[in-house]
Amino acid sequence: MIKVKLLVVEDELVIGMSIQMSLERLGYAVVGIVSSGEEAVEKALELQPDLILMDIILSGTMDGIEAAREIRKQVDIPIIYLTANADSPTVERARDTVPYGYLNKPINERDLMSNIDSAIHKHHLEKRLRDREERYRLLIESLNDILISTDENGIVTYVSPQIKAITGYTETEIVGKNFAEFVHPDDSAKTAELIEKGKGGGSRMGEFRAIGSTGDLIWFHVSGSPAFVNGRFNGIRVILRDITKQKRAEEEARHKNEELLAANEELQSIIEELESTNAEFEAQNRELLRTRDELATDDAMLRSIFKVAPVGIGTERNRAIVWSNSMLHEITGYAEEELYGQSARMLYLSDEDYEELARQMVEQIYKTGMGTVETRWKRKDGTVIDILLKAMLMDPDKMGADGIFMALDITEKKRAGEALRRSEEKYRHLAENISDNLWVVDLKTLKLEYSSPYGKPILGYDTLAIQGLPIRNIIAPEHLEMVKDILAEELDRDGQPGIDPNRTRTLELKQVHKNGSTIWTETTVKFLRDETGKPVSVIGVAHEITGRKQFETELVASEEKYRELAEHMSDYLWVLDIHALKYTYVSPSCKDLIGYETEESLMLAASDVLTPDSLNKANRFFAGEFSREGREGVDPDRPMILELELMHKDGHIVWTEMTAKFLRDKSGAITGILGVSRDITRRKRTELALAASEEKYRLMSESISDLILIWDIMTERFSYVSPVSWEMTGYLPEELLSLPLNEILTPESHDVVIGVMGEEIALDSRPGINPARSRVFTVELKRKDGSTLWIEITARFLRNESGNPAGVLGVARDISERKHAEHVMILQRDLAQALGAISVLEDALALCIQTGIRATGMDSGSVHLVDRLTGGLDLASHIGLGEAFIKKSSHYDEQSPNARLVMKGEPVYSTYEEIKKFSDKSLTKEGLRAIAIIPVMHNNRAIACLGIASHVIDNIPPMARNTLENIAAHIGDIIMRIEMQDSLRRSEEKFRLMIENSPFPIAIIENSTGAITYTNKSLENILGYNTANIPTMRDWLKAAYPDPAYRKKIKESWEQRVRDAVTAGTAVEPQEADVRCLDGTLRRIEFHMVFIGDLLFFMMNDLTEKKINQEMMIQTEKMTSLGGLAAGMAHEINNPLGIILQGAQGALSRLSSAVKKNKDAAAKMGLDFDRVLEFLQERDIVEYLEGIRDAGNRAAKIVSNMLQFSRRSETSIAPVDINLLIDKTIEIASNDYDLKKKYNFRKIQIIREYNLKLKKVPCSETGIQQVILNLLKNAAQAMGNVKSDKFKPVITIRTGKRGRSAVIEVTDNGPGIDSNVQRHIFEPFYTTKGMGGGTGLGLSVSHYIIDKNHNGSITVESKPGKGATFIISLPLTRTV
Amino acid sequence: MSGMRVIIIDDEPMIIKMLKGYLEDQGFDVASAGTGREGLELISRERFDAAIVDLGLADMEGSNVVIRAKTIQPGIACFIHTGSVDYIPSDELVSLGVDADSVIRKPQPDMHEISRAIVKKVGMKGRGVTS
Repeated sequence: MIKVKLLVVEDELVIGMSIQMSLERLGYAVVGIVSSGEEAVEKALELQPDLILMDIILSGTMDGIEAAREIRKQVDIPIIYLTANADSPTVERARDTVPYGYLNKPINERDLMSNIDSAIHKHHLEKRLRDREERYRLLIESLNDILISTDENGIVTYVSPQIKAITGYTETEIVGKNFAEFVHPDDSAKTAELIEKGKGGGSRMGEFRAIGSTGDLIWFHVSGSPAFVNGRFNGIRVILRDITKQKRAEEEARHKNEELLAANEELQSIIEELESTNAEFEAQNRELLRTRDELATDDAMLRSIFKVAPVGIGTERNRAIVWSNSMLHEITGYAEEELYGQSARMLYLSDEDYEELARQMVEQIYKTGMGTVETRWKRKDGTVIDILLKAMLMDPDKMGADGIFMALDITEKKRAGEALRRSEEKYRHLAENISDNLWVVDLKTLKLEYSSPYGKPILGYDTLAIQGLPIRNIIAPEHLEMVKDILAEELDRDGQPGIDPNRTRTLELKQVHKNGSTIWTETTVKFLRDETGKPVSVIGVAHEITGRKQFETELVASEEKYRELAEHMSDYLWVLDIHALKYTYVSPSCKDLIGYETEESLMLAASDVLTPDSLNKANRFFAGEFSREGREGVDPDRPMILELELMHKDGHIVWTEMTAKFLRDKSGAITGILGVSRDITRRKRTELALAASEEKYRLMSESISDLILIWDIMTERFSYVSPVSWEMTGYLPEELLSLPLNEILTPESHDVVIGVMGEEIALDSRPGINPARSRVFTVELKRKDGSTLWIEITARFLRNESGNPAGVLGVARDISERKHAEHVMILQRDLAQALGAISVLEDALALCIQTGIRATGMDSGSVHLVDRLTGGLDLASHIGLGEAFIKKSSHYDEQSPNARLVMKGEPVYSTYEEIKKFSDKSLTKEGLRAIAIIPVMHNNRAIACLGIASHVIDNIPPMARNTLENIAAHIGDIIMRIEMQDSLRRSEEKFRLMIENSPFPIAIIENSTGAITYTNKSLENILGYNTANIPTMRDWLKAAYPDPAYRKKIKESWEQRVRDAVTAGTAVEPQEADVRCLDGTLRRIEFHMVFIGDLLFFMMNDLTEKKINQEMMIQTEKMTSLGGLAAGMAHEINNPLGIILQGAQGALSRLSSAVKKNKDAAAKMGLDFDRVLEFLQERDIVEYLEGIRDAGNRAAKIVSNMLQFSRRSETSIAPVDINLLIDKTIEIASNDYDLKKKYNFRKIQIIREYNLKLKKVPCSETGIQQVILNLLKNAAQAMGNVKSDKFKPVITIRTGKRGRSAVIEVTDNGPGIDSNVQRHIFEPFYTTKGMGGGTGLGLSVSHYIIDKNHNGSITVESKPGKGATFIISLPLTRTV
Repeated sequence: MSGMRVIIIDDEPMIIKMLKGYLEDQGFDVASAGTGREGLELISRERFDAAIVDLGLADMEGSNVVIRAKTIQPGIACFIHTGSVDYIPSDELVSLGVDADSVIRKPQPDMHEISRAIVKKVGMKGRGVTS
């Protein structure tokens, strides 16, 4: 196992080292200890530790929190803070850096380990969750897209599974290979550049071609962004979208039919056109294209326009019919596709007929450029019809060129013509010279008087039969009036001057044949006169022109029709005179196109119609074309195509495509331009829109896989549903058309749709709102089978002519997968939140199972916990499982396959097929069809296992697996957390009880507020106080220390101790104090204080009884060892002292003149008392006596002082600066009378060798002072015994620390102490000083003070002649 | 002060001599005894106004001498003469009128204190008796 690497950031080297030792003992690897924030950042980046232990307070400018923030900015390393005293703003600040824990100093190993382990675990989980989240996010963003990650060299490290469907490659075929291998060679430079640029950061987009597994070309839209790990380029992450379809559609659309795009501008039409059959579309297209080609050929401008001409028209190429118009279809009964590509032979009765026709045609065309032949065709239905066929070549100069033919059905006419021809033949035969009919009409009766025999073939009447026939019988009614008018007119003017009486008029007359058919004649008439010259009759010579006339009439009719068509077509035809630069012809559609009436537009110059840019463009274009004229290879009839902007009369711009051709005179010189202009504004707009955004293309291509719906606002039903509805909804499109919205949406989603619709309609009337806006929303669809599906709808209004919303066009997309991912994420988030609030394991597990079920669509589940002792599995929670199964699965022992499976630590997903093969039949008995077993791991050990199963579904969707593994991780967390909580709670309970029942009084105080939050039983029992009667620290101080001076002293003492402890980093020195209890009694209490954060813990030790005992003991000991002896000694000394003093006083008293007895006694001896006194004074005797008295008094004082040593010694122990104390003692010693006088103390050189770092030592100040003073006296005395002038007495005093004790050494350079004496030196009354030299008590008392009162020791080291050293050792910490 | 009879019981002859000399100089009528027994004999034979008894006599405890003396002569003002610094008269002695004022400490820096204490004690008593 790899050791967890830790970085320790701690500016106290000692603490750092101790943490390191602890960590290493616990099995972690400490990769570094640093002491400043800056160093921490540097090392964290360099060493990449798994975890950082960070002291918050660091010396230097950057503290631990700053450093953590800096580190986390760059790398993802969990951080645990070390803190001694974290206030809440600090914690708040630290929280921003997402710490994985806090460790309070001093740090114990158990906390250290659990904190580190949980941080690593937590971090691991978080990282895993983050990674998954990331993947989900990308999934959501891309859906059908391919995700590829590469390393820094472009080697693919991950590719999402969609790759297979799109390229045919499996993931394994791609991973490990260079991304560039799959790029089309033409695009590899482009993609390489993209990757190179991508390294600079930011995302890149582009398009490239890739080669699929089958070698086909795939177009991808790529958006890539570089990945950086710890600031280093780590490859790219690419999202590929297959746009092949779109590209293809684009290409197709562009090449095949730009018009389609123009028409596609509106989505509705896109859809409609997608719906319309391709064939129809192509046919249209072909026609349009052909129309255009044909328009370009001027010899048949009108002729070629149209399929709907009343004559059958067709074109032939290489003897195959390549185009035919509808009239031809009507005539022949064949549809266009039946004719297309076929030989015209199919229309003829026999090969002979066809060959004959062809021969004649070719002959005629060769001669005249055009052939006219009557022939017969066989219709599709078998009937035979007569056809007048005219044919010509498209290009008269080339015999092999395409031919064009026109067929006229002349069956009817033929029948009539047949008779005519027969009679004609007859007349021709009869009168070769007289081919005309001569007739005479009487002017009065208007009846025929005569008709020559030739009238018969024309009118069908015999010569005789016609006589007396009124002219109305032979003249068509519409001409009869005309004829009558002409006659009247001629009669009227007849005889007038200048009027030729033999004048003639020629009329084209429409006459009526005997059989009722119409005959056209050209008749020349003149008057016949009587003798007086008066017109009496009219003579006319008529020859039939029916054939010509009929043809003429038909041509006129068809011409009219063509023109009409030409003029009604939307394209704008015009002819421009090149010399006048004026339009000589414009078709009426110019009104539609540019708003001018035909007449108006004829007045316009080109510059009036074209925008300046387009005028320029046209001028340049035609100049170019002119210059090309006459060059080799330049077709004079070339079509010229140019896009031009026209100005509409109302000022707006109209985009047109002009197809033009030069018109030429016979010499070939250009006389004008024939142009056809077509409105391409819509197309242009579409092109612009397309160019601006490919969005619509995508919409278009994506639309094909998405469900397209059109909702009719009026009928509240769908009016269109695209075929994919079945896959998505389970309904056929027809079914959906009749369903109301609430049938196919969940109620909530129905409300959503109604809401959106309402909002949008309300919005629609507002100014500035884009009418083409679309709105995206998600709804839950009710499928026909009852299941639901989340879809995302992109919708927009479809509008009627007035622009008001009439319908809604919606594109619906299945987003259930995305929804599922979202759903799962929400579930997991909810789970994590809910788990945080749960502290009962069973509840938490049930929640986990529930979440697992909900997230995966399964229906049952369980959690087993691993028994730590046996390794068996125990059922802890279950949902949706049968009784029998629960019983069976309540326990699996450690040898069972189930337990062993779990111990392996790998999730197992079993399908129904696999379950059936299990030896454990309880699963199949329960009816489980799919099962997931996910071990819950902690520290590489299975601690539980999550089972999720279904009674319905046969396998577990892969989507669900991540979710389940995630939930398993949650379970691991919750188990560990709850276990930790339980053990915490147990230990908390334990400690609480311990505190509660502790024999020592305990109180807890909030330092910041001074509130006493807790007091235990003992405190109340012993002192009588509780949180009710001393709610705050102030209340306590007042109650416990009523004397303000004492209170002040205690407070100050505490403050000093706390300061000392903080500076030294040690525990606070305990303090003794006399506390007044609630009942007024005083008790001696020793206080121990610990602070934990803001809380102060006070533990009290009642020393009252102990003190009493101790004092009693001391007294007893005094009595036995010293007390009694001192008293005895005092008695012994005081008696002789009494004699001395009383003697001296008595003597002085008896020398006093105030005492009468003295004078009497002197007188009795004959002495003058005054003289005696004089004598005594003269000899200083009085002075001597006074000296004795004073010395006696002094001795008495010494005794009394000495007795005080044995009195109750002041033993209050307090921290004392030993060095200072020694200085003070030396001061006292130098002022000491005895030392000064007897031992010449001032002459002794005192050398102080103090350890200045020595901290205060807890001791009794007076006690230690007494001991040192005694040692100084002994030393002085001992050195006083050396009788040598050269001797220089020196006392050296050293202080220092030895282990856990303070040491004071007092060394003299005196005669030393022999070993025999050393043995007894601390025994009471042992003295070497002889009578009057010492009491033998000094060292024994010293020993008593050091040994008994201070738990210390006093020893002596000496060699005779080499001085002596007394060593006092005092413990630095006091133990009670 | 004259005529006031004082007995000194002490086993230190020099003390007796000097105290006796002093008190006599002050006008007291002073008798003395070297042992407790001798002192008590004298007390049982003669009347004394006051007795100064050394606490640590060779033959018996001074306090016992006082108690006996009080039984022989209840009117006698007894003083305990002692070198001990912290001697406190027992309850029994106090009940016999031998209180803290009746303790004469050795050595006595000012002898007049002794005569003043005797006069005070005996005087009080005398007034009490006479009144």
